[in-house]
Amino acid sequence: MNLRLGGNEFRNVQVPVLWGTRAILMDKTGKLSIIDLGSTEPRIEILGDEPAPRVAYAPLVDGISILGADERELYRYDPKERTLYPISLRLPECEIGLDSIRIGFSVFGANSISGAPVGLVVREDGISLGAPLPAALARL
Amino acid sequence: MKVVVNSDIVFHAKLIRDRLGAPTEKLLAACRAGGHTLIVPRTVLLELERMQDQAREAEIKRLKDAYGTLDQHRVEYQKKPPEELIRKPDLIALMRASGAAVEIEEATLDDFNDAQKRASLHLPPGDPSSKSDEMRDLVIWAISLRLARKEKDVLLVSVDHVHSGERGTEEAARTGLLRESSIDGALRALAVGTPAGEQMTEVVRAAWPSLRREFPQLTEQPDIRHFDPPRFERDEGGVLVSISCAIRLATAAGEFDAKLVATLGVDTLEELNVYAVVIDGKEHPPITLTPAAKVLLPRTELKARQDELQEVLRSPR
Repeated sequence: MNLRLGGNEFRNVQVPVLWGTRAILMDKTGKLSIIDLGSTEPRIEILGDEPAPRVAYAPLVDGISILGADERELYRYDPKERTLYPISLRLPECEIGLDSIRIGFSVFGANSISGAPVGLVVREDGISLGAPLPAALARL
Repeated sequence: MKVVVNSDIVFHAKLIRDRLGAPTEKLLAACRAGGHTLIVPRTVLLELERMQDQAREAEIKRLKDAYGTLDQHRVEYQKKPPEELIRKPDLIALMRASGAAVEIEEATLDDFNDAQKRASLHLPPGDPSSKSDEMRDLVIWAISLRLARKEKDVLLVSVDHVHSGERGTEEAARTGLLRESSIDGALRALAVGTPAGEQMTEVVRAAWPSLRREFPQLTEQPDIRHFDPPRFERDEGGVLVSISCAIRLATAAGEFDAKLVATLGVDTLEELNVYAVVIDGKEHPPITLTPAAKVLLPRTELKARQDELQEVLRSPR
């Protein structure tokens, strides 16, 4: 897909931003969708800034809390700030700004990433640009 | 009430300029309105300032890089020192500007010794399997317990499992320390409405006649004392189909604790499973109620969002 996200151009990528096992996509209205690729079938968790169908969640004053099958809180999403806050997921924060993508304290802006399966990969231990899609993950 | 906050509740890894963030401001507004005091342990303040230093350094570097790009292209501009433009925020001053009472709480020698003992001997609330001794978290815990022993109402608001997990439950109960793991939970504890609270209240209201028929010990009108973070689920049409949580309600003589699972149709509370029931200290068998009561809950149209996402997924490769 071709997508502009947080001031960065992603061309011919399968997943523009992979936050752990979760693909982050933005539609043309600026709303984010978060899709978990960590099981056999992709599972939409956030759909256009809203909790997706059949996903366990709790509404918060500042967004949405996404819950796991074991009732653990996985992460929180603030649609006004377009920021993902990890709770039990061991990942840095991820903010999709107007002209940059913030991962923890690192900021990525005005990059052009083309032809890689994944544009920006965020893991617990680091970030990489233009990476392969991890084999264990489902395809979008 | 004294509201002790951990750094993972108040701020995140972003430079604060002149606003604290909407959720923090809501918490401060609730403290101001209710006459509560926000307690910031010195340990927390040091970490917040460290995070802000990091965020500030990142912003300064970004600005310097931008200057470098402009210089490279020989663009004329007014070059101001980044260190002067991007300043470190005075977090306590920003909090106090809300009108809420805010105090910095210094750890005592006893607090440090307590934390040291828990860390070294892997005592609760720390996780014995953790590789980190989590000394900072244990200092905050010690401060919170000390305040709870001294005052009547102390609430610790922290996401960290050291503070909000099961291993601290017994000690928190013994000292009267209240705990919440989100600003939502803190607002509910301060009797401020939240989206989850409003929806839970609506479900309980709809179920109340059925609940009272089954449990006549309950008060005439619903009196929700506490509920754990709830679990919601929607269908493909954006309609809420299920809400579940553990709840505490008032009875005439004491308290009613139970776990509820509400099954919802369109604007209807169809079924309510009530289990793990303890009323005024006595266990009660589980029961399923069929209130078939009208309930007004928000719903969101998801079709347009689904279409927008499909468009993104179908975009050229």
